[in-house]
Amino acid sequence: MLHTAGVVLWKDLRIEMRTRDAIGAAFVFSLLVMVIFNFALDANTPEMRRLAAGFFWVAFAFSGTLALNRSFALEKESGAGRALVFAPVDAAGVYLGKFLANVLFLLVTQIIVLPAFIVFFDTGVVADRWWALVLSFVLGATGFAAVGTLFSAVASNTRMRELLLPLLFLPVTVPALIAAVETTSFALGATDSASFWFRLLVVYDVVFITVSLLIFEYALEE
Amino acid sequence: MSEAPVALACRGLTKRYGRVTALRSVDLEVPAGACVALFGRNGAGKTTLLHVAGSLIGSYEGSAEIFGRRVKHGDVEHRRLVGVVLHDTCLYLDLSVIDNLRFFARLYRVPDAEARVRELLAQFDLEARALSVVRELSRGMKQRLSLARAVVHRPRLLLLDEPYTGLDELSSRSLSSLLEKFVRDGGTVLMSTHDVERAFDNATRAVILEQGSITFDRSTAEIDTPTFRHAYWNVLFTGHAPARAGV
Amino acid sequence: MSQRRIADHLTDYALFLCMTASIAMMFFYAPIEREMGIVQKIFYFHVPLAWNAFLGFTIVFFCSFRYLATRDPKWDARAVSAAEVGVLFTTLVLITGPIWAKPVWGIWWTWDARLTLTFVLWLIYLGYLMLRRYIDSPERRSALAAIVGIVGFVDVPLVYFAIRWWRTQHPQPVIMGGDDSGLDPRMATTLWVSTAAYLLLFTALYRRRLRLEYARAEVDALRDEMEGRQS
Repeated sequence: MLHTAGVVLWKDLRIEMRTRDAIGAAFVFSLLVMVIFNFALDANTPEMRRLAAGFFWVAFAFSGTLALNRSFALEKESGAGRALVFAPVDAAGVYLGKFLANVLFLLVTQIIVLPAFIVFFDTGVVADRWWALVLSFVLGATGFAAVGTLFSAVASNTRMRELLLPLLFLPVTVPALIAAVETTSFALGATDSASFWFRLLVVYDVVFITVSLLIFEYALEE
Repeated sequence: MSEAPVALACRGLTKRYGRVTALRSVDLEVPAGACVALFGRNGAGKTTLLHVAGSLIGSYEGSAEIFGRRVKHGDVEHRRLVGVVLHDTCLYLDLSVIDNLRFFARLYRVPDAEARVRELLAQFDLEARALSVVRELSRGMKQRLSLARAVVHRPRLLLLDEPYTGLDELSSRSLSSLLEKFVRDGGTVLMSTHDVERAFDNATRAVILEQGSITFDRSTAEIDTPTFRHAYWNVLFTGHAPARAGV
Repeated sequence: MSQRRIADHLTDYALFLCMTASIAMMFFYAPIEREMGIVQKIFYFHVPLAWNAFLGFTIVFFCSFRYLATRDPKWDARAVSAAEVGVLFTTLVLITGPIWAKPVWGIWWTWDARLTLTFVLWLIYLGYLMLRRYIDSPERRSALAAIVGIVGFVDVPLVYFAIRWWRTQHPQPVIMGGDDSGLDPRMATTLWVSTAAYLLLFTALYRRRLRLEYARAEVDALRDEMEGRQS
């Protein structure tokens, strides 16, 4: 399983390095969403700055969906994904490889967007809470990718994958999104404690990675 | 002859999609070293048969065995013995030619991956465009690459779904000679096609599938091309089984 | 008369009796709530609908699981039938909630924990139904829908805990009264009768939907067969 995951991960990274589609699109989209928020809500007031974390994760939710969509759109193009079915590989390994690739893309997007976000919302990470921000990003991206990779495979089989992917998986990510916003808020100093939320994120990640590993084969086969 | 291993053995193979039956109790034995050409109208079940043999279809009734191993959901080892060429090229358009081959070589755990990739680039005349992205290749080159991809792991059985469709004369000949070499080196081929000429270049057996059942299965040594073509056109245009010329 | 018909008739009669009893009790037996007045009666629709909707989604989960294990299309038929009735009931829950909230609190919606959970659930199962619409092959449709049916259900406890904790940190008015509000025994009885009534309604709708599903499958299969013969 790990070997398969490694090969699939390598392949997705190679493609991304060559095209920079996923990260590029996600990055631009995130900035766009933040700009729109700024005009729609006049985000430069102190109240709004308290909500900064929320804006960040909303932008992330939408741009992340784009990146995830692409993950399996690639496989459908000229049937490459079929090869993953007739090759002697296990579905769980394929899931793991794609999942890891998606986590990486999402993390990179977050890191690139962070400076812009800090500038736009005039916010900053509290001195000794950098670990919280890192943990928040990693756990949030992981949870998102765990469910998103599975649902991306599911939606890629349909006629309307761009519509169906967000419709199917955003509701399921609600707990993770709430927790991610709360933990990032904590890192930015807007709230005082977030231990429950960190724990929830960990549980969420573990549960959905496990379920996806077990169920992924049904999404791949004919 | 009875000792020769059987590459593909289907007994009573039936595949239903709801109440539509794509394959009806198909009995087909493809011995190792054979080259079987599968003919039939669109929708006769050729693709379904190839997909079952290629492990693309998870559930079916009856039995299908590759070199004695049952084709089963979850059992992956027999897939190592099979190479598949479909309608789609099954290539990553944004990767280069060489990266595609590397990917499949590693996926199939080919022991000498890098060397094998170089070997295939030479054998399939792809060296000149090795670093080009697949999106930029012509159809003929994509087909060649697809075939290279299918044999990267040195399979013993090659399944091809209408490989000659859309190929020009040069590419067709090239494919023919590649298949000939494959069979000469001990491989087995099962391909579906409409191209009687090309098929008879290589095939040792011709099989016609109609509405999920085999209605014609004879060695190509016994019939000549024109006779077969006539019989096959009968099937295509009238939907009737060919005259039972000693079947 | 076939067994199925008998079961149908029994269910329908029971449903009629129970529902009548429930409505009668609601207006004439259960006392009028002190604070909220007659609007509180919506409670006897809202809560049973919610419980039965949840039951529906549990059925979807179980049937999805069985489908992936057995590949028997009957399990898929059961899953989609339960999902549709479940979504219908959930929609009604989402409608009755605000109808109650507006006269009592003056606002339509408060992102109250239970209602929010219901809303998210509604979105998930709406997604389940929409997914089915956009897949042509029946086998793929059943398998992929089963995945959503399972993952969606697994998510429910997580959504519940997340929203509940979030609500304790950001308190707002609670629709239908908090968990600690005591229930007059007559209200409780009425609630149980109503729950039974809606359970019967669920069953009646479910059975009909299931038969519709089987009939649809037969029509499709016959059509395929005919087209196969003609070509």
